[in-house]
Amino acid sequence: MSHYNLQSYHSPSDLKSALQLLNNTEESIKIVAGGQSVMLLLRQGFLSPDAFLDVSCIPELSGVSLDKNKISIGAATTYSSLELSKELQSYSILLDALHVIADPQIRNLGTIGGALGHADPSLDIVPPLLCLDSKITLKSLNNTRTISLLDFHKEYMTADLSKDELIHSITFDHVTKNQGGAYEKVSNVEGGWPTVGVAAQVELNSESDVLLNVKIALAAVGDTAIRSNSMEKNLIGSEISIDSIKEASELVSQDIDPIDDLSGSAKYKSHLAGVLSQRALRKAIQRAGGNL
Amino acid sequence: MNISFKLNGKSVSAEVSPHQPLRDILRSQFDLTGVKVGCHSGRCGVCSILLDGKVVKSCLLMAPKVNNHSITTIEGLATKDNLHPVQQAFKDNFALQCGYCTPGFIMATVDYVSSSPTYPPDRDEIKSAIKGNVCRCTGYEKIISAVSSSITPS
Repeated sequence: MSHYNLQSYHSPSDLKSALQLLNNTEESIKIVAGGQSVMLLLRQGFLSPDAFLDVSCIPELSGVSLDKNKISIGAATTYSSLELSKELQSYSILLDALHVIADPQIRNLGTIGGALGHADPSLDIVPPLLCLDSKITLKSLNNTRTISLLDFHKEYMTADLSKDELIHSITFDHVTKNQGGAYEKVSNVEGGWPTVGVAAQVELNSESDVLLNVKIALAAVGDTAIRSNSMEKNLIGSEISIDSIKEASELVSQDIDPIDDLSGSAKYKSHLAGVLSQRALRKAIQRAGGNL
Repeated sequence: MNISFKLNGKSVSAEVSPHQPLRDILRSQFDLTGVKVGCHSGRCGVCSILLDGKVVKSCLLMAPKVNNHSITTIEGLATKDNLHPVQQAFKDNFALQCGYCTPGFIMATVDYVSSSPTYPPDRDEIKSAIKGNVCRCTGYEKIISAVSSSITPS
């Protein structure tokens, strides 16, 4: 494996040391958390950094914390600790996705921040986070900025992350009791990447018969994960019915841009996007207490 | 770089490059060939080991990550006279044919049965727990039986 030219592996135990390293060096540094995607990219020859910065030993970057209004997840928190997190047990939209990400081995190492930095449009965790209007906090030695996840993923496999920045945390507001969410996915193999994945989060009125708010996001049907504004606009304010869900799902093709590949044709993926949108919406509405 | 870690209960150290998967270190420097080589890409699970008791795929585990951590391979499960209960369950249920995938399945099962699985055993939960491992001979039925019989009330 002579094409590798790796000089060093940094594994600091505090955030400041990590940020100093990113700030001072002329080297090309690849930030690594669980390493589950990095190892694949290395093996395929897509990466040849001068050094690695392993952020998995920085306690500040791991864990889930709550305050009055929001939930904050440290970037280096593994998928399996999120699955077990007490704070997330009422977020069925996230739990649905966490249970179908790859397999237990990958989830024991793979992290939420690593996924978001990787910016693959097929990641299962991104559509649920988009439906929760997640924000992402980025830190460099001299600056902290918070942007929406929707803006963070700029284009295919490209995140809005400067060389001196790392992903610190992901935050979203608490859900209220008349909300419900779900994630539905079809994959060619058990534990595989989604052919299409759809997340839906809904909020019902107090009589549980009208959709006050609807968020729908899809994976694997474009350069980034996508929010379906057409479906959302069509459904907000409407009475709950199987027919209205079906009618709205026909609009999804306006918002997505799938390609033909080994997982399926663009036509098939458009069809799947509609079917999975209906399933996710129905489940989300039922979980919010609506009758269907 | 030099790393130190616990390997099957013993303190060891190894000289590694940052890009090396731990699988290659375990096989070449410690002769632990029960850690099998399969797909190189995290799909087949034959290289599964325990990192601090949790199952991971050693082909996707960057070697420097195990510095100061604890690793268990299939070679570290049995005692001198007795198979590990999960190994015994795979033997009793004849949950193998060629045997190549067996170490990986056993490591995944050891983690699963130690994490308070549903009792009586739940078939869908078992399938989900071993979905990171591929077997090309048995058709999985006997493997699911072996995992099932390894689960005891918690």
